[in-house]
This record gives sequence, structure tokens and C-alpha cells, in this order.
Amino acid sequence: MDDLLLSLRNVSKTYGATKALNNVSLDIHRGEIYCLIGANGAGKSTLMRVISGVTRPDPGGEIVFDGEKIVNNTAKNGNKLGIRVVHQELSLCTNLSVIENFYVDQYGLAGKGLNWRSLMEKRSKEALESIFPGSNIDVRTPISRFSISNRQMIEICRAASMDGLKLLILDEPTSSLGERETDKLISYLKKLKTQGVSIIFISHRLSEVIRLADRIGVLRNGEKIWEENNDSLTEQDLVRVMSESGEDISAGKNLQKLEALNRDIAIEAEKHSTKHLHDISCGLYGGELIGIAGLDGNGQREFLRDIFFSRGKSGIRRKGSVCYVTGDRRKEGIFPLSDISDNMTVVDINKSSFFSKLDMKHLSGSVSEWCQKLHVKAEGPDALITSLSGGNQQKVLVARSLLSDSDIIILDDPTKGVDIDTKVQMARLFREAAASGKLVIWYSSEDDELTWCSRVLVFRYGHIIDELKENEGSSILKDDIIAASFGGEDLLDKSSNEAKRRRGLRSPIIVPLLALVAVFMLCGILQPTVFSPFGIELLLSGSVPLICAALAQMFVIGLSQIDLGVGTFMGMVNVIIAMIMVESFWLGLLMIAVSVIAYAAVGFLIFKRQVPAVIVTMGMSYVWLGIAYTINERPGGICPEWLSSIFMADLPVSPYLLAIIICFLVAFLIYRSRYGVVLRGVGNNVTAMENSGWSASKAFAAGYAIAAAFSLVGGFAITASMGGCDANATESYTLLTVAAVVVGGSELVGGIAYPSGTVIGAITLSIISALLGFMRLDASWVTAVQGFILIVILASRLLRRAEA
Amino acid sequence: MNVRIIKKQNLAQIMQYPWIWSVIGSVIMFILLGILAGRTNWESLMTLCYSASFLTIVALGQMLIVTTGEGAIDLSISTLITLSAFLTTGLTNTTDSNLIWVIPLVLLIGVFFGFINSVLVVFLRIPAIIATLAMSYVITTVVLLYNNIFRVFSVAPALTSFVRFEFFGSVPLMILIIILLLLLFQYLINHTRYGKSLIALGQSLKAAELAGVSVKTVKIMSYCFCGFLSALGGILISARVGGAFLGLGDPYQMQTVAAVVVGGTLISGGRAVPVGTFFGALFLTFLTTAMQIAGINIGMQNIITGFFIIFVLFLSARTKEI
Repeated sequence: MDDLLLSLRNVSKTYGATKALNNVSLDIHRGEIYCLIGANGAGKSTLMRVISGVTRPDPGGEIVFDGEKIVNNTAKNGNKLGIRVVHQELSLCTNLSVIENFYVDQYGLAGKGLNWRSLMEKRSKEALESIFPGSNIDVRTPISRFSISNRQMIEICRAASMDGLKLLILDEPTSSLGERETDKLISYLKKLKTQGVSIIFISHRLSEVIRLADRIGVLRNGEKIWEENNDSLTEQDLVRVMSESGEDISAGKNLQKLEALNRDIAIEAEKHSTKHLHDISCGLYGGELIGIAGLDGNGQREFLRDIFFSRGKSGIRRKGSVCYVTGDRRKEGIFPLSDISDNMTVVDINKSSFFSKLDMKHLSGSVSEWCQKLHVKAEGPDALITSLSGGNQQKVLVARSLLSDSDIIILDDPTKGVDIDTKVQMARLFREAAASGKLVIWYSSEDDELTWCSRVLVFRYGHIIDELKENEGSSILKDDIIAASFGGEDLLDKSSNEAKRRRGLRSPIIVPLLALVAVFMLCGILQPTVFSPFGIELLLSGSVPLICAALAQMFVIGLSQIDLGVGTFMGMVNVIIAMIMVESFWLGLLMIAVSVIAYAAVGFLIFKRQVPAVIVTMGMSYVWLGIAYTINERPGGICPEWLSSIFMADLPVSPYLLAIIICFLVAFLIYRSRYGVVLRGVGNNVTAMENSGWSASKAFAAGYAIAAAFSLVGGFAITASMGGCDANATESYTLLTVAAVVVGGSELVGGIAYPSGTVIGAITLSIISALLGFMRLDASWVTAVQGFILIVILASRLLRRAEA
Repeated sequence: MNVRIIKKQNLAQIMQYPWIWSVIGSVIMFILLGILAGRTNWESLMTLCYSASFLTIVALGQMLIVTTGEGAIDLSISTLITLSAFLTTGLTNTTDSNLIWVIPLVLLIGVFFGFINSVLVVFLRIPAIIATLAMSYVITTVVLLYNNIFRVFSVAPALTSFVRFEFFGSVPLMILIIILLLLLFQYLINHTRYGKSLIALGQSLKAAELAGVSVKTVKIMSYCFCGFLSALGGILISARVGGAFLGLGDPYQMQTVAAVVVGGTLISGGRAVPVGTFFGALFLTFLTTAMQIAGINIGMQNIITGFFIIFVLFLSARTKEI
């Protein structure tokens, strides 16, 4: 039998000017642990993305997996083939429990019966127990309550327990795990390999690599430069291989020594500690070019942010104006709709007053000056920034900071995706800026660039573990930086393995319930008859329509959206029932059915076209209202007899109470069901759900259809209680539904929605209007009070979060 | 790769004039109106522009809010219009001399509510839609309470004649005001730090923050401007309709958003087109008038307007994606 599982031949991947992968060939055997190491930006993550199908490689190379040649690979496909990746960014839905997260990823294993939850519970428990025995993770708890290290453990378990797993790729899985968990993981992986599963393991922690690997490969600048069986290798061997210099951008530079001359410009930190940084003490001054080095994710970026946002921070002091250049230009750098000139001057204009005329001549003069200095290849300063190549965009961002003449320039990996000539050019500019007395702080994920710096601070685990200085005539060496980056192993925060659970009320409905009781008691004090069964029934019967509408809104909010059409939709249903259904039952039913389908279609389109739900549903609310007006503009109509007899039925419990209970149970069961879990998952993390093979647009259609169904029931209830129809009666429900959902403890984003809380919230809000009546307040006050309550709750939640 | 860049450049050229569609739409609609009504002339055009000018004023406020990005819309504009109309009518009590203090007061109240909105959005980080919706309920209550004691049934004559004033007997003063307002907005958006900052933060809040843009201040100012313009709109509208009544501002909730979107302002923020907003308002006025002339009932008008905005939204979403 052929024991080759995966074989890559001459695979390359180019992003603009940079070759992220350059003719990489790699063989992975069955039941082998292959460890991949390399300095920052060596191409490890890109290689893994290519293998798992997330990224498509350049044409020309060949990938063979399990004897089959793979073309047009996608992430979904990779899953099917038996390839699983545990990324550095987690792909769990934080609002779902561990069990539910296992379900959305391994739904094929849940069986057909009603017992899928217990099946999944067993499965997830077994997975956790076999990999991390004694971890004490409660699989019924939502992910958001777990610490990062626990989440990482859950993610690993989910991937490793997949059915038909052939290749498991772990990208820095131990970065947030403690020592004990790492040991457990290593011994499990060794066990897993005896079952024939192959493992690719990426790590910066060389000691782990030595303990675990069968073979070790080293990537540098997108090329595989070294591969060896793991026999009697040592950490020093690996560091040496990685730091052996390749091409060097610092070649041929002849640098003047920089000195910290300008003490008016300074960053001074003294024992600065945060969640990510520990005991940072340093003094950086004008005239220096400071390099920030270290392996990715060891606190460098956090340090830069703390400098930029240093106002009001205790451990860090800043003298002089500051400017930030990001390397993540797409997300936090460029303004894609603006031209080059606006993009370049956005920092500089902050010096002028808000409403005076900007000196356009002066600005455009400096723009063309900097375009020339940096060789920005563009048609002119009026061209859109997006018409430039990535490297040229990055030049504009750098020019932004130099043009603004700030005292301190923070560079957050500014040379990402930039070709080598430009890099040298930029490095020279940074050096010049420093020589002119500015303080330039340069973080780079490519260590050879930092050899241009006058001083380099090396970060590991949030500490500064080393400081390198240039000497007269000799610059800092890249090898020294790399060697230093792997130091400080003893500083690892060993406490991170303890399961830190977030404190808080476990049940989200306690607060809403207390509020309900309080409002109810107040009512009773003002009007004692409220406490009688009749009083309770009266209060409840008035709240049924709102409860239904609020549950409808909840299913949309569960998708992290807001529906402004709930109220008018209910009004339209009300009119259809009282005007048309009463005459011709089937015609009415048909109209209602069509409108529910239309509702679902709107949901589908909202996702497909990525248009804002608020405006679409607002537009639809006019459509619903218009239909209602067309049928009957003024109050009128009558309630069909069969409908009123349902709500008048002589049952042991009040029919209204029964309706509330049924609505709640249905909503509750929908969210408990398999597809309900998917709905909530989509509301939380669309990408993860789509990677697991779910269609988000279908989920949106389903969510909106369910919402329509609930408003429908609300329409029936309101018809029964009014005994007729009024197209305008339900318009005010829109805000009320949002308020009810929020009062009930649900969140506006993140797929966190509670049916029980929503019902309680809706009852509370409708009792409040009764309460105001008892207080002899004008009915006009009701809406204001309800709006006010909503704002107070949202605001108080924010404050609570700020405290935590 | 090359093809892509060329496409982008072509698009860039069109994107420089995103209001062109609203102009074309307005022209077509005007011709259609002429056919429906059986006549077109300068006078009818002026009448329609006059009607559109009121919508334009409040839509420009909406445009600023939409441009702040993150899906922000101000849903309190319509109620603020109603409140301002009530206050103007009630406080002046048909006496011209009262206008001297009433108008500044009403404008100030508009700015105040805008400011409260901005506090909710900027400091309490409540989504703009929720914050302004809640605010609209609060304002509605104020209006309802005021309505209970409201006994004035006509506006101050000076205000009426101001709104109805026409140059040379055919060019309404309101149109001149709109032209001045548009010039002011053009200047604000393109030539001041405020405008450039607003455009920047609407495109990417994160990038604007890192570029040192005074994100909070600019947002607060935008909401205050919007409140100011809503109040101004309310004052003028009350003069136009000769008083105030409940639900006076309601049609403007949808129409402001529609005018802004039709005019080429990006609903996701970061691009504001004042001229387009005017033509968007003009187009909507044409549309409403055409529907009225064609004898379409109010329900059908609602349906058409609703579908229309969704349609435009889908169209603009397409251009954004490329």
C-alpha cells in the first residue's frame, strides 16, 4: 500500500508583488507528524490554507491527496476529503454550547432521531476526555463563557474527533494553551498518529517541535529550505537553520549612527502591564529608529496600540504628536472610496479647524511631492486609491504619516505585500525621518527589515526579553534578532491553563423576571384588583399580540439584524383576516401564505445582496401598510366567528394564557431544534457556518419565514381582541418588539436570543402601559416611557460590560 | 489582473458623478408627468421644485447621518419635523413679532434632540436606528402632550409670505435657499476638515481613528446638524401647510432615506452627494405627484414607494460590490 497521503509539487502562491509560496514541494506520509517551522512571514499559514482549500494556489503546481489529484479545492471540499485545520483564529460560534458547536460541524453523525443532543453530548465529552482528560469543561455551557485556552481545546477536540479524519493541521495550537494541556495534546497526537492519521503541526515553540515531530521542515520566504528526520536534532540546530541569512534587504546600506538627541519627543513606559503586556519599561526618544521584533503575536501590536491610545493610560507616557501607519491597509488603513490625495492628507488636515477652508493648493503640492519621493505609480492625485496596486497603496499610507509631520511615527508592519525595492526605499525614509529628530517606531514581521533600526526591542509572551543596539559602523544582525525571538521560554504565563470562567448570572432571564414582578407588584399596589385571576387574565390577554410580534422580532435579531416591518405586517394580516378571510377563508389564507413567502424571500435577498436589513424591512413595511390601506383604510371589518370562538373557548385555563404558553414553547423548541441551532450559529459566525457546509442565505430565509409566522399568529390574536381591524393599530409595535427582545436579555448582535426572556419582556412592556394608566398618566406617556426603558437597558448593559 | 484595473477605472469615472442617475430619473419622470397631466411648462417645474425643496432640507440632514456609516439612519427626523411645526405654530400664536425668538428657539430644540441622539450613539454606543427610534417615541409623546393644549390654527403671516415669496413672480425664494444650502454643503463636504473627516470615518471607522480623526466630535456635530435641519424643515413645512397636525412629518421618514439613496449617497456610509440628494428629492416629488395625478390610491402609493426604495438599494449594492 502506498503510504503517501499528501504530495505537493511546485506549488506557488503570489499576492501582488510578493511570492508567499515559491515552488514548494512537500510529501506527507500516512501516520506521520510533520512539523513546520520558520520565521515570521515565511509562508507557513499560506501553505496550510492552500492544502485545506481556503486559498487557491497559482496555476502550475500539483496537489495530490489520497491518490487523487485535487483541482479547484474549496474549504468545504477539504472537509469532505478528511482534512481539518485548527486555525489561530477560532471558528467556533460563541453563542452556542460545546454540544451545539459539535453538532453544526458534525451534523452527519447526529443520527435521525430526537436524541441528537445526547449523541453529540456523548461525542463531545468523549473527545474532550480522550484529548484533555480531567479538563472539566461543561459541554452544555456556551463558548462565550470559556477562556481562550479552553476554546482552543474545544476547537482542537472538535477537529480531531471528525469522522474520516486523514490529515489534521494545527496552526500554532499551543499559543494559548498552558504547559499541562500542551503535554496532553502532544501525547494525544502521538496516539492519533498510530491510528494512521497524519498531522501537520506548526509551532514557534521549538521544544515542542523536537518532542513531537517525525520530520521537521523549515520555510523561509515562501521556500522550503530544509527538511530532516527528527533524529537527535536540538533547538539550537533549528534556530541556526532558520537564521542562516538568505537575501538581505540591508545589503549595501551605509548608515550614519542615529542617536537619541531630541528629548522633547518621548515615549516612556514604566512597569506597564495589561492583559497582553507585562512589566514593560523603556524610554524611546526623538532621533531614534526603534525596531519592535519578536514572533508574531507576542504583544508587539498591543504595545503599539497602547502608545497610540496612551491618553489616560497610567503606565505609559507620551510627549509629542503621534501618527499610526498600519499594515492591515484593507481593514484599517485606506479609505477605498476616496482619492489618493484625500487618503494622503487625512492626518494632516486634523491640524486645521473644522469649518475653515482647507488650503487645497498647499495640500496638493505636498501630495505630489510625496508621490514623487516615494515613486507612487499613479495617474495623478485624483485617482482612486483602489486603482493602485497594494504596494503603492501602502506607500500612500506611509506618506500620510510623513506628510503630516508628526513627532512620533508608529509603523505597524508597513511593508506587508511590498516589493523589495520599495522596502529599501521605505527603510531609507524611516531612517531619514529619525535622523531629522523624529521618533520612529517600526514593528515588522520580517526580521531582516529591522536591521535598519538603531535599537530593537524583542518581545516574547508580552515581555521585552532583549534589546539590541547598533554600534558605530555595524548594524544590528538579523540572526541576532531571530535568536533573541526564540528566547524567554521561561516567561510563559503558566496560569493560562486554568479554566477561567466569566462570572455573571447564569440565567439571563432572572433580571427580566424580577422587572416583571416589580412592575406587576406596583400595578397591584395601585389597583388591588390586578391580583385577582380576572385582573391577571386581563393584563395577559392584552399582551398576546405583542408577545407574538416580539418573538418574530427575536428570530430576526437572532440573525444579528433588525426588522422594522414586524408591526405593519401584523397590521396587514389583521386587515386581511377581518376583511377578506371573513368573507372567503381560502382567499384570505392564500394571501397570507403568499405574504409569508414574500417575507422569507426578502430575508434571502437581504443576505444574498448584502443590503442593510433595516432599510429593506422599512421599505417592506410601507408595502405591507399599503396593502392594508388598499384593502381597507379605516378601522372596520369583523373578526371571523371561528377565530373569536377559539379565544372565547371555555377552557380550564384562559385561552390567552394558553396562547402565550404555546407561542413560547414553539419558539423555544425551534431554537432547541437542529435547525434552530444553525439559525443561531449563522447569527453569530457566518463564515464558520458556511465552512461547515451550511447555507447562510437559506438560514436567513428560514429565520424571516419564522418571524413572519409569528407575526401572523399575532395578527390573529389582535383581530380576536379588537373584534375587527385597524391598519394603523400595530405600527407602534416595531419599537416595542425590539424593546421586548432587549429587555428580555437578548443581544442585538451575536445570535444571542432568548424566547423566555422575550416573552417576559413583552409582558412587562404591555403591563407598563397598564401601570401608567393606573398612575393616571396621560396615555401619551406610554410610548416615551417604553422608549426610555429601552435606552436605559442598553446603556446599563454597556456600563456593565465596561466594568467587566 | 489588467482587466480588473481597467474596470475599476471606468467605474471610478462613473462614481465621480453618482448623482447622474437621479438627474436622468428626474428628467424621465418629468416628461412622464407632462404626459400624464397633459402639459409641461416652466411654472409646473417650479411648483414641483418648490415642493421638493422642503424634502431636500430634511434629506440633507439624513444624508449626514447615513454618511457616518455602520448602517446609521435617523428615524427621529419625521417626529422632530412634527414637533417643530407644532412649536412654531403654537408659540408664535399668529403674531409676527414672536418669530424673532420662536425660530431660534425651535432650531435650538432641534439641535438639542440631535445632540441627545449623538450622545446615545457615540457614548452609550446604542445602534443609531434604535437610539433614534426610541428618541422618536419620546418626541411623539412630547407632541401628543402639547397637542392636548394646542389651540392655534394658523401660522404667522410673515412666515407664510416668506415661504411663498417668489422672484419675478415665478422663481420661489425656497429654491434660492436650496441652491445656497447645496453650495454650503458642497463646501462643507469637499473643502473642510469636517467634511473630509466625515467621509473618512464613514468609510472605515477604524482607519479614521488610527489616522487621528476626531471621530466622536464629527459624529456629534453631524447629529446636531441633522437636528437643526429637521427643525428648520419643520418650521418651513408648518408655514407651507398653514399649521401643525399629528403625523405631519410621517411621510418624511421614508422619503428622506429614499432621496438620499436615490441621490447616490452610499447607504453604508462614506460618500455624501448633496446635489444628488436634491435630485433624489425632486425625483420622489415627481413620483408622488405622478401617482396622485394618475389617481393611484394612498395604499398603492405606499406599495410603490416601498418597492422602489428596495429596488434602488439592490441596484446600489451591485455597484458597491465590484
